[in-house]
Amino acid sequence: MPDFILNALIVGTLIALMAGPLGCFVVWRRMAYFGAAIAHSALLGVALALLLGGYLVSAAAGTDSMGYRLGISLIDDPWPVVLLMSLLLAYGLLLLQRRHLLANDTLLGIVAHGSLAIGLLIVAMMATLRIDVMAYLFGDILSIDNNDVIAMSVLSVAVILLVIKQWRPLLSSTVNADMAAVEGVNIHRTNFIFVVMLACVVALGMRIVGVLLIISMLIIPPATARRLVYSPPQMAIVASVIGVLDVWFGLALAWYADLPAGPAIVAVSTLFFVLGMLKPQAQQQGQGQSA
Amino acid sequence: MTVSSDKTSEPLIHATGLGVTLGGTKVLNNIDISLWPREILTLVGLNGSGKSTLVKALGGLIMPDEGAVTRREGLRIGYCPQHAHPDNTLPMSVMDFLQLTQAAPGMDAIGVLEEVGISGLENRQLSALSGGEYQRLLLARAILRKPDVLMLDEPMAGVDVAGQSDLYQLIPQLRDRYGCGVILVSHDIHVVMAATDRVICLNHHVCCSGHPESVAVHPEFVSLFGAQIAETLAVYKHQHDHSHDLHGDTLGEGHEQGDHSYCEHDHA
Repeated sequence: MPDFILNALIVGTLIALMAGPLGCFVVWRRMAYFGAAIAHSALLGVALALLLGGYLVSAAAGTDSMGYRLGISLIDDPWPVVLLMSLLLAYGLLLLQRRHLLANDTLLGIVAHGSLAIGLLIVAMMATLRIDVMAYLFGDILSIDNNDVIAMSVLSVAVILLVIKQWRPLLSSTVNADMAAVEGVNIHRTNFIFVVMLACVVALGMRIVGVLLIISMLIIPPATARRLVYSPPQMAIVASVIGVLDVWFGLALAWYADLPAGPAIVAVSTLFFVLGMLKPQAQQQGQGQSA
Repeated sequence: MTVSSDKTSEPLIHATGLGVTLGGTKVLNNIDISLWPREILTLVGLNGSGKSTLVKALGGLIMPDEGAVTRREGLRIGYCPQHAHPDNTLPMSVMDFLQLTQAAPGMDAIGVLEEVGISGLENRQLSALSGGEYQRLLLARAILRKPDVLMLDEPMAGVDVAGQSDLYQLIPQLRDRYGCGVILVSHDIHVVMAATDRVICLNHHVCCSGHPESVAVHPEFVSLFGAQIAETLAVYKHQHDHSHDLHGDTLGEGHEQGDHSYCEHDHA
């Protein structure tokens, strides 16, 4: 097995593991469109990273300075800027939503498509760099090198640990934010942590399935898991397991049938969801004894 | 015999000159309000009159734009919100729901479920609960914290008539058992009156306040709710209250909010 497949397997598995519990919260909080808006705007982050990288490189004028190396690494690897961009945007959206300026879905639609369009324009206008936009829109597992694997693994594990640690306040504020607040949960802090974790999934998952498909790694596995489970932790774990299987089967499909990896993973995920629909909804526990 | 509210000590929550603006609209204006220990205070008013907002401001969920809210130090609040059913995509049992909160020492989930009359439902999924069962579950979670103040926002929403009167009997029982103050929000003025010590009629400001009987005949209340409702309400109260000595009195000087130490009465 070539290195790039192994790298994609490792990173994809870690992303699926963290997308399981986070995706559950996205589904429970009805934030699928919020996640999609952050993901679409990631392309704007890519464009800004490339602009900044290009500027640094040209300013260095051929010398092997710090700025030059930073510029090259930004062009090669825009995801730290994407992470920052997603974070700022997500937090800005949270603040805007709190002011109830527009209907949520309208506001999110404007942000998602506005930022995607501007990102595409910036990339198109860059004369000095030849950028394969498709790699960002639909993922490019070839771009993951060994250093990426290490950085992404550290970040994924950190997010997984954080979601475990914050589980109860996150869940409580998801069920009812006002009750949680009265009971001492800091809602703003919890929302902020959630959005940070979401931005991490977007920035990392972008490499595998791309900005247009990353939200499906968050919502399809939990939707598939929903019919099999009775409690929130069960749903998070089952969603993670399903997500990992999606990645493995999807990469295998891409490898053997010579197909693009991102769409293959999402197609497999969708197939699992449809198969899951054939199974009747899990019977409610305790229904018989108390109905 | 219920224990009447205790106004010899400090109020549990006290607000003066409270003003809240939401989305450019002034929802609450210059509200003075106190909740006393062991008191059941009911907020009535039409839809959109600011009842829920007032409760949230008193509970610290909304920061007021004007005025101040003082809560007794270390005050534990049990809050039952309106329309709180979580999304159906969330698989959660009654027990999981109760475990979201930190139970006070000596309180346990099974015990409170029994207390609110839904014992045996601990493994039931939330999505399979009826409206009445869900309201009782919210109440169970609130009292699991052994609160000093119980805040109930429209607890009768989605509950049938028989269930409503059960629930209204439960509220004074809980007050007596835990010695907490209760703030009750309702737009259904008929049922509320039976189990309350004091009523505040709200329409962005305090229209009138006092004992249920006196509020029911207050001119502002009458103009807000319509003469007929006010009349049936006053009659209803008179038939059900036998030891009150202020029959039919309108809310006058001497009957300001917070000054009812002479009102001995009995809600059987």
